[in-house]
Amino acid sequence: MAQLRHAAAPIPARQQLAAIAWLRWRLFANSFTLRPRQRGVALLFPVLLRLLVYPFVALFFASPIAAGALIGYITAARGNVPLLTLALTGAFLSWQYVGVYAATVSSQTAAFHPASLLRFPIPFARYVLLRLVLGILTPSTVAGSLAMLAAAIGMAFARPTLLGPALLFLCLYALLNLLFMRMAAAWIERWLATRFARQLFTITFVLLFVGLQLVSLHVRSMTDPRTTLISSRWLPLVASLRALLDWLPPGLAARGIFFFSARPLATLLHAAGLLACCALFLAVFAARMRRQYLGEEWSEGAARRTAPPRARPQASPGHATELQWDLRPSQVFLACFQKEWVYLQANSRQWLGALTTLLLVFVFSSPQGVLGRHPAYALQGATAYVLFAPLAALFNTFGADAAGFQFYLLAPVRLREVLLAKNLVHLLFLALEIVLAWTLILARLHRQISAATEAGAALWTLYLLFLALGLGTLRSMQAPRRYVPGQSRQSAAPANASNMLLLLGVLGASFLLQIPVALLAEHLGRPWLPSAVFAPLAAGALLGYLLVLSRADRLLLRYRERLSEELGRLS
Amino acid sequence: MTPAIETQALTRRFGDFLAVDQVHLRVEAGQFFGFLGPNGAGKSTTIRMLTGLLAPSSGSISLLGEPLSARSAEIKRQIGVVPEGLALFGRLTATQYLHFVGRMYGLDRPTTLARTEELLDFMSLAGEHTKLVTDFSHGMQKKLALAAAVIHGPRILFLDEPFEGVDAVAAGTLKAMLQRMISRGATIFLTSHVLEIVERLCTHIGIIHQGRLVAQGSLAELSADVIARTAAQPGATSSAAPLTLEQIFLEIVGGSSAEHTEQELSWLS
Repeated sequence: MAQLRHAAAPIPARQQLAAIAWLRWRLFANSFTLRPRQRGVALLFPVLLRLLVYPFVALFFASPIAAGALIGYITAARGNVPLLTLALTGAFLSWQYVGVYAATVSSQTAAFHPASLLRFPIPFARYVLLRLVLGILTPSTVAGSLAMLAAAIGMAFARPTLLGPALLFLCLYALLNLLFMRMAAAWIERWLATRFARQLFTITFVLLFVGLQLVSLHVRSMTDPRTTLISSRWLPLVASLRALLDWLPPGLAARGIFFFSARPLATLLHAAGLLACCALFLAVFAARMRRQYLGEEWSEGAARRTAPPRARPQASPGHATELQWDLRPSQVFLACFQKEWVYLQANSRQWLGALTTLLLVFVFSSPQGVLGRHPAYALQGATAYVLFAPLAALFNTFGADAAGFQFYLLAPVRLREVLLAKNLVHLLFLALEIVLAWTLILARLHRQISAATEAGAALWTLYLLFLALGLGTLRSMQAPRRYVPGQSRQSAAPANASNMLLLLGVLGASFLLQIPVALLAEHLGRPWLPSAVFAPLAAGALLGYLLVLSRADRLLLRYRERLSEELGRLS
Repeated sequence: MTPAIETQALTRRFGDFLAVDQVHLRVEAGQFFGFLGPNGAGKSTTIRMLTGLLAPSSGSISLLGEPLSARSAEIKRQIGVVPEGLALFGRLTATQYLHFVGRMYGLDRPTTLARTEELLDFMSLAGEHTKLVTDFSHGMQKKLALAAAVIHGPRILFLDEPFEGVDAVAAGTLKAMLQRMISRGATIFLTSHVLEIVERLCTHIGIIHQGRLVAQGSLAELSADVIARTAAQPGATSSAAPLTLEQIFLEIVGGSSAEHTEQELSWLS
């Protein structure tokens, strides 16, 4: 009776794959479904945001395609195999860098993870296919594949006889890149299952990114005729790398194309070499998928349970509990302050973000960097740059509390104290970041920045902070968004689209505002003019913030339904 | 007769933590099996292993007479699961979700559509067809997860806390549905902390404590076993009356916590 029904026909692959494709489509289409309160003006913000973002997306795709076509044309016209090898190596590195990073970020933020399909009756081979297919439509793969195609067409323009071999080898090379990316992403995703590994990975990527910026500045400096000697030091290294690359996939693909007509056997061997690499990457990818398919534990939750339960300390009568400090400020303020501090300490993403921006400020403040070349705006530029991401948290103060927000509605507390504590912790973090950024700038550019400029920049920063505090606090109640920092498969942005756009506007407008003021000060020969302008603006912004704070409890009553609905919702 | 569910020395470790320890489980076809245990005892880990979502560290699992590791796709087709986290796709509507699940289990389109409609009606979710699942209340999400678990007519149904957050009317309907499935030969494996429900519904019970299966059998067998054990203790008074499931459970997993409560929370008014 309990025997498995052997007679049941297997589920057609087409049916399951079509169902998954439909699921992906529905998830995408439903993301445009508006809740009742999201109609009207709220609809405008996502549209505006897309209008701002899409040009960059277009640039992301257009650049590699144009570069591919150009390099293809040049290498074919000159018959330059080493240049094509180097270009294909560059394509591989950027493809993998962007692809793997995007894959790991999306694995933590996406609403849909293919591993969630494992509960359905999917055969293993189909699961592997599915994981491969779902990785095809990533931006890096699309851009990379189109770049390969453009390179083949570019080569055909220069030498029409190369069209066939170029298409064959570059398609093979694109396949190899795709398989390598899927393999790397799958293994990295597994290694990143622990928080420590994720932090390590992020630091590595940050250092790589900063390293690239430094290399870019160095390359720029090499164009200066006075420093051409430096570039000659790199030549032996490049030559030895080229010899190695000849036997790696970029070299195999490049040489295969040019050997096609003259040495058919060598071409065949090169193609076989590429195919063997593809097979190897596929096998390693499948091995990873096999472990996943059989059900492996990824979460850290289970690992955390290994710690023995701690005995609860016995609270003696009349003694303050952990969250109650016996100090002058109110207990509510102190409890909230301590809670926010704990949250901030645990938010490794925020700390790493701060580290990244500070490292980049250091890079940009070099003599060739954008800040180094414009010392009059270096402090304000650095401030706006380092503040953009952390300021977003001010525009969604309750987001990280999620359902816990309801505690503030239930407990006998005044919201202004809660907000003050939250904002103060945020401000401490922002102040630390600003101080460090300014230290980096002034260490390099102190001779070019006058005391009056520093004072003006300081007052401008205060104005910006108070303005963001006031607006952010208000918008936190009007347009909250559930956001759990560090939690996997949650939305990545700490605030909703309209708030992010507002923040961008505030930051941009404030930055643009100080440019004419600085120019006017220079024109009139009054270096303290920016201070005179921004001091009253900062005072006004502070007044605005205090006004919002004083009305916080009334605002809470007005928006409590919206807050509870958004922050208290399930999943 | 081949059991519907059978495990041999099923073990799962997380690092040095032993979540499930050498569990030998046997659930016959057509049984309504209640799987009980205190929080963190290993119930959900066991269910995740039985449904193929988590690989055992050692031991074996057979469902419907076949090893799960060897024929997982075929076996998954015959089982339905309401997992601990519900595992719904929040950005779909209920209709879209059930449609997707039906197709994934190999149902043809007309059957999927018909069953979707029927199930939504049965679960009183028919009026919510434009709402996204993420906007559902917890109880509604639970009902939807249950609908998804039965849409393909599974022969074994795994339910992790199925009645938590479900209103009394819906719970009554669901219980009737589960009883009907049992009468048609399906096997149900259920975990719940509500002992009254388990006592009323389940024909057989297993109790897991600190990863070990410490008791397994019918309610009468467990009661007799506990009575016999208690009677064997020095100074015990013998009682012929059968025990309730709550008494059995507390006796097996470590007794009442009332004394601690009185000691520690003496400041409560």
